[in-house]
Amino acid sequence: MPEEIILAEAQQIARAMGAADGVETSFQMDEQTFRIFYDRTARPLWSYLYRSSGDAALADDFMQESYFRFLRARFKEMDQEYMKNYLFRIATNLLRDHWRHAKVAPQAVAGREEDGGVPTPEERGDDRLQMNSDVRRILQDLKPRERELLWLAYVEGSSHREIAQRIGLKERSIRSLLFRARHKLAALLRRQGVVSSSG
Amino acid sequence: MKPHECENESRVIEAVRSGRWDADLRRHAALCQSCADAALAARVLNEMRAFDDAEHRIRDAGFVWWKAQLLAKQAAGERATQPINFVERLACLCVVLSVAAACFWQWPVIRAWLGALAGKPASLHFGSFWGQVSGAFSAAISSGAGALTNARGPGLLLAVSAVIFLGFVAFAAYFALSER
Ligand SMILES: [Zn+2]
Repeated sequence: MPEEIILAEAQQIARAMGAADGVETSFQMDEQTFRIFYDRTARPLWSYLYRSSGDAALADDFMQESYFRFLRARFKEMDQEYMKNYLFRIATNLLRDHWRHAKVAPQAVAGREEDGGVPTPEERGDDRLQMNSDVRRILQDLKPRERELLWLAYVEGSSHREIAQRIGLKERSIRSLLFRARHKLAALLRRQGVVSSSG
Repeated sequence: MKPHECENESRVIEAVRSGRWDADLRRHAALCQSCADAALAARVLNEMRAFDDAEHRIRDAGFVWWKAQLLAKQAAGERATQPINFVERLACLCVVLSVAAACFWQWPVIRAWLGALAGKPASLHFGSFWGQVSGAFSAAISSGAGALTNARGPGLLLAVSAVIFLGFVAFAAYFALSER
């Protein structure tokens, strides 16, 4: 269904509900501020959720839930970095709860080939897709926390302090955890013969 | 495995992320195992990020905003009906307790009525069965009610009912006021 139609429906329902029950939703942030914040954070957050979980549909759902919880929170000051860390912390907690309650091993999603409408490499005959598929499988051989750490450090460029805030670990433990995770990932990439196009 | 962090690692990661390498750093990364691992991991993961940006369309900000508002309204609605549900359950409990208390209190009347019913087997067509059931029922209730009324009199039952009723009224008033 096109996104415009879903959006129009959502707006219609929200207006109807607001008019019907007289319930006011008071988020601290107004819509305009939210849009700016969303534009800055949505892509990194989605990739973080997707690469940590290996499941595009789950990433969509958790992204919505993360922003909902974020909007309901009260901030003393609207510091952009603090709010971004807070948002990632919410997302990390959702992932944690998911692994805890799903009763499936975090690796189990590896078998679900390219959910979320992305075509398989065979369908497109694309090297980039092949590599994406390989890396996705390799990432599932890491522990969820290792994937989170690596993504935040090497893609988001987060400092150890930021990583500690975002995934709820002690700052001094980040260094050794990150080292082990990176060593493991590099070994897996070399063993599987995955070499990126630029390297 | 002992963590060994090379002092150039953060520069290597930044170079991978930005795509801006200087010749010295590139030479170092080729020789240093720690930096080579960091460069490989960073390069592959950043390519995945670029892949996501190109291949996946994320939801519109407006949609996420309105959905969040819907969820907030839903949550507010659930919060509003919580006390009502609680009071409803409490009311059911009060009704059950009141009926039980009335049975104990007015037991002689009920027994006489049950006896009258049991005494007309022909008109009810299930005479002996009904007589057994009502007999067992009356024996059970009379033993309980007899013990209670003999010990403290019907005043106790009245007092218990009154306390439950007042408690119910107090709860209802509390929730009504707190919701407002
Ligand atoms: Zn080095």
